[in-house]
Amino acid sequence: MAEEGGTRIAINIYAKRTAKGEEVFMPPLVFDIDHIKLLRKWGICGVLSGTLPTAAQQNVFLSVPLRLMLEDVLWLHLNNLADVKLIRQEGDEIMEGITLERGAKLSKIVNDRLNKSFEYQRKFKKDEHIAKLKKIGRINDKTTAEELQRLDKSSNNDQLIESSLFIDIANTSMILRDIRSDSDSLSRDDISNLLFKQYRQAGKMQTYFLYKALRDQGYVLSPGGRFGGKFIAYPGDPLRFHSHLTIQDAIDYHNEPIDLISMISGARLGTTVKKLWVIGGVAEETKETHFFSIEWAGFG
Amino acid sequence: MGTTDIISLVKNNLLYFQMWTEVELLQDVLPWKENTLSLLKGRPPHKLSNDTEDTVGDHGMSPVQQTEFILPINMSQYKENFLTLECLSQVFTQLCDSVTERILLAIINDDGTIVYYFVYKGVRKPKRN
Repeated sequence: MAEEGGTRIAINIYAKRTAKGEEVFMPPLVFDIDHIKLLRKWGICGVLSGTLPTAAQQNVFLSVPLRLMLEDVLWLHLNNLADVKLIRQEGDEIMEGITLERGAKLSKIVNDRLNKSFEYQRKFKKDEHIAKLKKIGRINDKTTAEELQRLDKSSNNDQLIESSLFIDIANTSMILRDIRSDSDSLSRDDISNLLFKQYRQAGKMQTYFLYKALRDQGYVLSPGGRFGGKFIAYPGDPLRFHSHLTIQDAIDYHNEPIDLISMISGARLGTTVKKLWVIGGVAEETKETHFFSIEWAGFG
Repeated sequence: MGTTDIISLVKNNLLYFQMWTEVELLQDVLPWKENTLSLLKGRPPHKLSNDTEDTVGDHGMSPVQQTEFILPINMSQYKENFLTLECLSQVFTQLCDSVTERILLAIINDDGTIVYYFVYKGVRKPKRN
C-alpha cells in the first residue's frame, strides 16, 4: 500500500442525536473519486449511493458518495489509512453557517472555473475546425484572418460551438471541504473510541473480528442483507467473481447455541445460490476466530 | 428423545431410507452438557459432492464412495445452549481424525423427519454443481 504515496482516505461521518440524546452515526461516506479507486484496490468496495441530478429516479448507475460499512471504517482507521471527519452539525445548520460573502466567493470560483473550461473547449474546437478546412483545401496558409472570420460567420460556427460545450461538474463539494469538523480536535484514539462505541451499540464487537479474519484471508466483504446475512464475501473483486459465502453475525463461542432453524433456512437458500452459510465466533481465551461453513447435503 | 434413540433413528434412516451402507456407531464418546455425543460412520450410495475423489473399488469395479461422519442432533436441543461453536470444534478435534474436513449434521425434527447438512471446519468454497 506504500506505492500510493501515503494517500489517506477522507471519510465523512454525520452524527445525529436521537430524542433520548444518544449520538448515532449516519452511514460513513467517501466523496473523493481517487479515494474510492484506492479503496477498491484494497478490497473495500462500499456501495455508491448518490443519484445524478439529471436522472434522479435511476438506481443502477449511482454516483458518489460511496457508502461504507462501519467495519470498513474501523479497519481503515485502525490501520491508519484514513482520516475520519466527524460532522455533528445538521445539514441545514451547515448551509446557514455559510455567510453571503463566502457564498458569493464560492460561486465566483465555480463560475471562473467553468468559464475557463469553456475557453479551452472553444479554442480546441476552433483549432480542430481550421485543421479540417485546411485538409479539404478550403483554406491554406495564406488565408487572412478576415477571410477566416467571414467563413466562420457564414456557417454559424460560433453558435454551433457554444451549443456543444461540456459543463464540468466537480466530484468533491467545496462546501464540505470548508466545514469545520469536531474531529479536528479529536485524537486518533478518541475517534477509535467513538467508532467502537457506535459499533457496540449496533451489534457485537466480535463480528468485527470475523470481518478482519476474512479480510486477512483475501475476501472482499459487502453488506449481506440480500442473502440474509451480515456480510457476503467475494473471493476477489465483486465485478469478477460471484460471492462464495454468507456470513452471519458472530455468536459467543462458548455459550450461544447455533439457531438450527435459521441455519437450515440460511444454508438451504445459500446452497441454491451457490453460497456457503458461514457462522463464526471468537474464543475469548485464545482470541482465535472459529468459522464453520454449512451447506445442504443434497438429500433429506 | 434420548441419545440412543436419536442415534438409532438416524442409523435406520440412513440404512433403509437413504440406502447407505456400512453404517455403524463409533466407539468414541464426547460428554457434552449432561449428555453425550457420538458419531456414526457410513458410506453413501452415490457421490455427495463433486469435490470429493472416488476411491476405486477393489477389483476396479464400480467406484466406492468416501465414508462420511454423521452427528445426529435433535432439533429441540438448540434451545438448551447445546450446539455451540465450541461443541462443533470439540466434535472435530475429539471424535474425528485430523484429516476430516467435514461432518454431516443429521437434524431430527419433531415429526421424525431428518435433514442432512454438511458442516465444514473453517471457510470453504461452495461445491461445484
